Amino acid sequence: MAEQPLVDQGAWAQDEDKLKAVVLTGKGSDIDLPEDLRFLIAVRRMVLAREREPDAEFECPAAMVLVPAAFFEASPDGLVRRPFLNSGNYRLTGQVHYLGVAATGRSRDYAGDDGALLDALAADHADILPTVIYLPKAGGHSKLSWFPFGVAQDDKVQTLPVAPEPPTPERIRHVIDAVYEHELKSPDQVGASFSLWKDPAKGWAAKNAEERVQYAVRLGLSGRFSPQCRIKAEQPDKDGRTDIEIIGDFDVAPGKQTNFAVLEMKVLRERGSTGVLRSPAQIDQHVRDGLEQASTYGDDRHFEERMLCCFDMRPTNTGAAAVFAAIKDDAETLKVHLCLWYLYRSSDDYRKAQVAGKLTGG
Amino acid sequence: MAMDADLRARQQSVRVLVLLDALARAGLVPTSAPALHELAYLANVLSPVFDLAPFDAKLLKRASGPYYPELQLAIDRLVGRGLVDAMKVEYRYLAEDKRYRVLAQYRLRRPLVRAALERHGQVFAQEAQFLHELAAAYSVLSDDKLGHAALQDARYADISVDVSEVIDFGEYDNPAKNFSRNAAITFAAGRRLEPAERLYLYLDHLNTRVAHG
Repeated sequence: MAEQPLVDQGAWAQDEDKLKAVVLTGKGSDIDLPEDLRFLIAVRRMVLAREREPDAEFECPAAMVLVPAAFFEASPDGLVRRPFLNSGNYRLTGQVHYLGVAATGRSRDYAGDDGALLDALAADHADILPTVIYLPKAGGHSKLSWFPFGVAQDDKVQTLPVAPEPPTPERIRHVIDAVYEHELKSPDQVGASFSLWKDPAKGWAAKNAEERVQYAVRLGLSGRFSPQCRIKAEQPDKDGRTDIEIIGDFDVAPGKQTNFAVLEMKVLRERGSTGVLRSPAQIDQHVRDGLEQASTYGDDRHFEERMLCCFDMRPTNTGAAAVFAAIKDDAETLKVHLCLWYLYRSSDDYRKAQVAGKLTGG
Repeated sequence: MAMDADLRARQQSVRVLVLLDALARAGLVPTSAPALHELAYLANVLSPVFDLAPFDAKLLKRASGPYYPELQLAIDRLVGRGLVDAMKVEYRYLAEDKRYRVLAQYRLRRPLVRAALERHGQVFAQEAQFLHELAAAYSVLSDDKLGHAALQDARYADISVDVSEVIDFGEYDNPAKNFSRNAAITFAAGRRLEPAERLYLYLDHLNTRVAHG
C-alpha cells in the first residue's frame, strides 16, 4: 500500500516536488514595510527582471507611479492592463505605468522626449503621486529616480542604481550612515512617536529605543538591498534571536541562498526610560554581549559577515576607539565588524559638537 | 434567527465592498462577476495561510467555477442602494451549468463607501491586508483567465468532489481537506516564508497551471 502524503495538496499533489523546490521571487516578503518602500522595491525588482532579458530596451525613460484604488476606478483614457509586466518579458521604456503597491496595474505609451513624459504625468494629475523614473543605460548603468511626493516636487528626489549590489560591510555601513544622518542623529529629526528619547534633556532613552533603531535601519537596508535580499528581523533559533539578517534567497535555486550578514544592534544608554543610571561597567558588558551574540549567530547560522552596530546615547561622544577598546582584539579574532554612531540629545548639542570639532581641527 | 440572517446579510455586504476595494487597488476594476466570486473563493481557501478563518468553508461545485448565491444577492443589494455601479449588465445562458445568470461588471462608488472601508481597515486590519495581497497576487492573471482560474485550483479541481456536489473544507468536514491551503504551505519546504509570499507563489503556480490547461 502506497504511503499517504503528510499533507494532501489535492489536485496539485502531482506538483508537490515543484512546490517544494520553487524559486522564491521576493513578492510578498516585505508586507510589513511602508507602502511606498514596498512599491520602490517592487519596481526595482521589475526593472531588474527586464534588464536580465537579452532584448531589453535602453532607449528612453519610463515612469512608474504608485496610484490609489480611486485612480483605477476613474483612470485616464488609453490605459491598458498589463498583468505580465513583472515577468521581465515586456517593454517598460517609453511608457507610463500606473501601478499598485505590488507593481501591477495599467500602462500607456507616451510619445516624445523626457519633457513629454513629465507632461503626460501632469496631464493625468499624477505628478503629485509617488513616482519612480526609470533612466535606462546599457551595461548595468541604469538608474531609478525616486520622487516620494511626485515629480512636481523634484527637490525631494533620490537616485538609486538598478544593478544589484552585494551587501558588503562597507555598503551596509554606508546605508546605516544615511539612516543616521536623516533620522537618528538628533531627536529633532523625527516626531515624538518615533523618538529614541523619553526625555532628551535628562538623557532618558525611550524604553523601545533599540527596537526603533532596528526598524529604521531595516527600512534603509530594505531600500538598498531588498530586490535581491531578504532583510529579516528578530529571527529566533536555539542561540537566541538575531536583530537583523541579510539573506540572498531570491531568484536563486533552492539551497543556493547566501547568508550575507547578521547585524547585532545595541543602544548604549546611560539612563533608561525610568531614569535609572547604568554604570560604565554595565554598558561595557552590554557591548561585550553584543560582540558575543554577533559572533555566535554568525557561526551558528553561517553568515559571511557579522557586525556589531552600537548607537551611543550617553552624554559624551568618546568615539569608537574608546567605546570598543575592551573588545577590539576579540572582535578581530572573531571577525566581527564594529560600528558606532553617536546620538545627540538635541540639535543644539549637535551644532556645538560640530563647531567644537572645527575649532579643534577635528 | 431573523437577526442571524440579517447579520449575515450585512457581513456579506461588507465582504463585497472589501473585495471590490482590494480588486480596485490591484487595478482590476471594473470587476466581472466571475472574477469577484473567484476572488471570494480564493480568499476562503487561502485565509488559513494568514491564520484567518474562512468566510465560507463550503460551496457547491459548478462546472463554470465558484459562485456564491448569497454573495451575488449582496452585490445586487449594494447596486440597488447605489453603493456599487453595475455596468455591461447581461443575462447569459451558461451551458456548463445549464442555467441563466445575470452577468455584469462592478465598481465601487468610492465617495459613498470610503468611510466604511477605512473603518473596516482599522478594525479588521489583518483581513484587509490579506485581501489586498491576495488581489495583488490574483492580478497576474490575464483578462481571459480572470474568473476561470479556480477550475485549476488545488481544492476546486480535486476529483474527489464531482460537479453539483458540495466542496467542504472545514464547515462540517475536516479542515485538512483544504488542499489549497495545504499546497500553499508546501512551497519552499523547510523555509520560513511570510504568509503573503505564499499567496504570490500560489497564484503564480495557479497561473502556470491555467496556462498549461
